[in-house]
Amino acid sequence: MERRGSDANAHRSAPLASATPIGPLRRVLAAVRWYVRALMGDDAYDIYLVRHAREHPGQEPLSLKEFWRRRIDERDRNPTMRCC
Amino acid sequence: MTMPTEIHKLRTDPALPPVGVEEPPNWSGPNKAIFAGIAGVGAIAWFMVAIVRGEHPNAVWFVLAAVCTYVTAFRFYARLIEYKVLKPRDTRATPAEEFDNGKDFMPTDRRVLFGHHFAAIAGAGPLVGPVLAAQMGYLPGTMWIIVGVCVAGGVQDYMVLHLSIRRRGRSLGQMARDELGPVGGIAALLGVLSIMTILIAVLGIVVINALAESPWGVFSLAMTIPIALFMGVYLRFIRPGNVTEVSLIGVGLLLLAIIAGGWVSESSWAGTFTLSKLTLAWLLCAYGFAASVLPVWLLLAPRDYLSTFMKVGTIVMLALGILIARPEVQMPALTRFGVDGTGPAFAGTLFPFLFITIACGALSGFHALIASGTTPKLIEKESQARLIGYGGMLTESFVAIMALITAVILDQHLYFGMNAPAGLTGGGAAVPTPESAAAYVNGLGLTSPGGVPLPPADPSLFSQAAAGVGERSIISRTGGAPTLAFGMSEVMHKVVGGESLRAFWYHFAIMFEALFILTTIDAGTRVARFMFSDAISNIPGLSKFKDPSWRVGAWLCSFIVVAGWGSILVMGVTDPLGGINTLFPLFGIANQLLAAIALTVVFTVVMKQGLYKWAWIPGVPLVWDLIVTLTASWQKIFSPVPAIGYFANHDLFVAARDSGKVLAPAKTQGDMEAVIRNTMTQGVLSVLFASLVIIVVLAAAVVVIRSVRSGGTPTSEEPDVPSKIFAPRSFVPTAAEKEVLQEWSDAGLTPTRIGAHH
Repeated sequence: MERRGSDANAHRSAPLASATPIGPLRRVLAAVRWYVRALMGDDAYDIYLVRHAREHPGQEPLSLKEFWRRRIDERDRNPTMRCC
Repeated sequence: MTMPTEIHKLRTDPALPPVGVEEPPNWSGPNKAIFAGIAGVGAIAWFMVAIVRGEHPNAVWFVLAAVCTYVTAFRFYARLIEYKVLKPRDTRATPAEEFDNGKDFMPTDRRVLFGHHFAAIAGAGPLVGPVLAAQMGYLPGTMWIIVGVCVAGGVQDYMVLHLSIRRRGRSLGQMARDELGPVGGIAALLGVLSIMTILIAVLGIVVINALAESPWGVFSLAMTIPIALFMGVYLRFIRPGNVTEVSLIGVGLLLLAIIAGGWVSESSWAGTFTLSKLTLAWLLCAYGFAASVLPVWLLLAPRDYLSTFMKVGTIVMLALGILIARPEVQMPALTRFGVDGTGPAFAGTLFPFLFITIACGALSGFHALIASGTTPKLIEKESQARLIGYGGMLTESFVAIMALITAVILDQHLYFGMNAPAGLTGGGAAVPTPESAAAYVNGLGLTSPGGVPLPPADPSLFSQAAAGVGERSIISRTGGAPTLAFGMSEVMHKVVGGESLRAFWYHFAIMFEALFILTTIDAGTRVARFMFSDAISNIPGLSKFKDPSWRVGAWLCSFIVVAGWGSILVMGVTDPLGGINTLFPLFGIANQLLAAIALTVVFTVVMKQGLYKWAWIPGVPLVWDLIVTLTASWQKIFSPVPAIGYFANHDLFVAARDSGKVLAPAKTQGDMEAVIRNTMTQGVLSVLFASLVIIVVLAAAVVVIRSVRSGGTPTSEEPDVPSKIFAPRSFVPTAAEKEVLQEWSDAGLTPTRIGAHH
């Protein structure tokens, strides 16, 4: 369990749950943005950084480019099925 | 978990906030009123669709009947399955939590996972089947799609997902081996591989039928390859990780490609992009092979992003389009083709062939491959399986209802002219003309939904319809995709763009379907390659095939897999009888037989656990599915009617050849030989599929009888590991779940940690 407060965690919870008062339109837009980014996987590197900091404190994490290279190459070995 | 009577917060560690909430169903006054209202609206909609019918029922009634039934089934039937059979425990860690490695195992937000699961299960299947089945009228298809998903498809997806969650995310094949023993396991594996082969081949025929002789469609689709390559390079070298950004660029380029397709079709390049079915089949084989051996980042991954983006976007757009345009239904509730079995899109009577033709959307065995093996490794909590498994399948069913609507709102003359093979619409000529097609459809004796005979169609109906969507001809464009695209352009042009955008919408829809199908073909070829090399690596001396990065093995296995589906594809596109009519039933049978395997595994586990009282929940869809598929297989194998029985047709053509005759629709001796060869192959495949399933069912019967005699046997369920995370069960957290979220927040903890280590 990591403590709250690290900025990289902010993306994990939907912005609708955010405590700061913002306009309804902004909130909907932020929710849509959060959903699309999470669905497409844009947030994968942020998640990795948090995880890495907890599990290997003090070690240098992979660069963004290297992380994505490995992430996509992982699918070379683990193909996912698409249905009809 | 039986039905709780009060709220319980579940803990696994006194130092942590609760990891789950059990609460009684919300039966407050407003909640009761809402569900009573939904049930009431649903009943009215069903009454309008099924009983009142009228001269031209409005499509909005279909949408309402579907959505109200889904909500009610999700709230009550899926909940019953949850309380009485599956009994999820949120104190138990899911495979995603237990084996979290930040890669294939990782707890994923339920709303995001719902999107992933939906994108993985829904493809061209729910778009094509309902369009073909519309030839029997709108009512049987609508009823089967909506009722089928609630009692069969949703049940299968939900229960398989739950079983796999309890078994460390193991695949259906592995679970079959564990629960049914080695014979059942091997039959299940062979079944999965052969069924994938036929699936890819038939989807290939659908896409080729939509693209053949259409320079616009071929150009647009061909452009998706350079677009994907560009996206792949962009994502790898220029701006890694910006998936949404590159997908938006890709969609922009795609729209440009569709517009440019219109220019190409009117330019001197049109000839270059006008390809025959056979050429396209060979190109598709080459594409499948390339996608299987090339690195994923270059072609497969970017295409997948593009496809996901288009899938979700277009389906939402079509739903809005139908609600805004509110089109009227032109097809009667029932046509004579369901009774006499002489339908032009596919042969056979309503029972069993309607239930075979509409597989995806009502009951699709293929989903069991996603619900086991992929999604369980990402789900946060056991109780979320109802939302993801059952809810995901309901969403696919809704896509199928929309596809049905696009087919039944078309002018019936157009619908039958598009979906009858050229052998019928041509009236003896090699290439059908608007005149011959009009003569054919006017001879069908079509009536309006109210039973009034339709006035005869003028040949100009076909030429104008083709010109309207920028095609040379729309006659005998079988396979379902062109009909769907035509219906979609009919809906969408009323909402956006008017007549001037009709052709754009048609080609947009063709592209959208072709994109899905290519994604299934490339991903399917790759998965089949892995399954095949894994299977043969168990043979002594071939263990080298276990390593997927061994290039020789990868190339060899890819070649074998592509040769498998490629030969059926080439057979289908050159078939003088029209590949879709002969092969689509085989595709449906294969898919439904896979469902029979999945439901057999589920039923066996329920029986082993001694839940005899509730065994009907998987038992009813299993028995129904077996009756449908085995009847259909029986008719395909033994029917003396040549239009239905593969071997009867085979014998007919053999006898004709031996006496030196050429039988229509064959035109040459070569055609005769092709029919003789194809009918034999299709017959043998039918026998193979049915036999594999009978073996699986018999193996399960032995296991079940043994278990009942000994008063229940252990299943392969893995022991509990206590969960240490919390997440709500459904999209919106309940009041009690919000309290728990607050407890986590007050303790300064995040409820779903990001990839913890064990």
